[in-house]
Amino acid sequence: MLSKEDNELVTRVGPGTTMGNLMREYWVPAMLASELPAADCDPVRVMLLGEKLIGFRDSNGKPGLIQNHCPHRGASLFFGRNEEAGLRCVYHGWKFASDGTCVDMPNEPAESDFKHKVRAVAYPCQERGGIVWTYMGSRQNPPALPDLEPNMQPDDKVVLAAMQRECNWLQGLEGDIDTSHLGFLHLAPSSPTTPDPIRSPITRSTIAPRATRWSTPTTAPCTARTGPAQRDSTTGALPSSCSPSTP
Amino acid sequence: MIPTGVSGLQVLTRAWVPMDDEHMMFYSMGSQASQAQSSNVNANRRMVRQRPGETLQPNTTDWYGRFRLEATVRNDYLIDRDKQRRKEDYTGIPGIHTQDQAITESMGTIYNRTQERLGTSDVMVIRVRRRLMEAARALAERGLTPPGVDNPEVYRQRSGGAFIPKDANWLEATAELRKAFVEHPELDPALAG
Repeated sequence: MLSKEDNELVTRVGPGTTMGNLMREYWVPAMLASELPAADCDPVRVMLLGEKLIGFRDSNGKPGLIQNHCPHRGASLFFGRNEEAGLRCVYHGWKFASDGTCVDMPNEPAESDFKHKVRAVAYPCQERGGIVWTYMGSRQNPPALPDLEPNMQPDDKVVLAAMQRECNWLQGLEGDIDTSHLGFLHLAPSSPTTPDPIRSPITRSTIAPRATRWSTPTTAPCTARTGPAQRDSTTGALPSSCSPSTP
Repeated sequence: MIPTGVSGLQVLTRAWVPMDDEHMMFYSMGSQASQAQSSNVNANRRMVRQRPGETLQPNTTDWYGRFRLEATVRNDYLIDRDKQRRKEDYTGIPGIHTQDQAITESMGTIYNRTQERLGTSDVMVIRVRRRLMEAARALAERGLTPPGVDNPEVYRQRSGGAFIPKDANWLEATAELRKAFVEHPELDPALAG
């Protein structure tokens, strides 16, 4: 059970919220790479952490994620022309590169330097293992992508799925770490005592016990730090408390 | 990462990404080698997996038009009450992901945690919430870098199930199995399935 304040804290993720700021310190999956199938393909509306963004792949094949509203007068860049290494607003022709710089402002006089003073919000993107990752945080130089093994396979070895859910993110995640529901919600046939309902022993032993015995070793949390963790000077190992797999 | 599958062979990560406070996108990333025996890889959508009961509507260009299941709250997730009654499966809702989706959406768009009653089996949920709040407050109040941000190597992990001696320390007994990028030719994939 959480207090009302804590429930608000963990569920609200828009710009400036406490949880939203935490998430923005990490790389987050923004799209499947297959949503941007080719250079200069159609832009895609992407809602992410409460921000309306336009995903596009420029002429060089580089994915970009840029603010929906053109910095000029707010027209949606979704309708923009994805051409010659940038997204051009179809209202007045202002054009933005995938890093947010304004590269053309054709309705300003030739001698105007206004385009150098205008910049669109654009988040750095990296494409790996069929996922377009983005960094929406405060650092000038984003951290490295997390070493997630399934995301580091060759593209033709990766199996991906994406599914939208019409609810807050945390109750989705909480379902995934709640092993107790496996023996109920996902059971087929619907009795764990049916003779050999699930043939494979590991799956059966995961699903069949309905009142699980827990072993919950007490580990120090991988506490927040002001800088990179101190490695052991002889082995180079990180402190064991940094393993995200220990509950 | 999930507890089903054979520890040491399963290479799978999931992400729960907020679109906004009332919508999220679930991503699953797996390696073909570890999923080939248990999933149908749809040849027409290379790299994208769809299992029975998890058919997607065609994507639209709407803000919320990406990767929506055909089974939604508006059709009661295609629940088959006869199947439920005959005990063919527990819910009558087709597809494991659809079952999860139906039940987590049914908790309310933004689940209100002020009224719940958590029991013994909810210890993991409790711990995760606590750590999330700690990390979020440490960043907000003290400017501390959140866990893992500068340590990409801590994500080199695998999940799954394993049989170990009853009196063994499970962390030690599974240490090798939980390491990423390690081959385990001695393990039988048929243990999962």
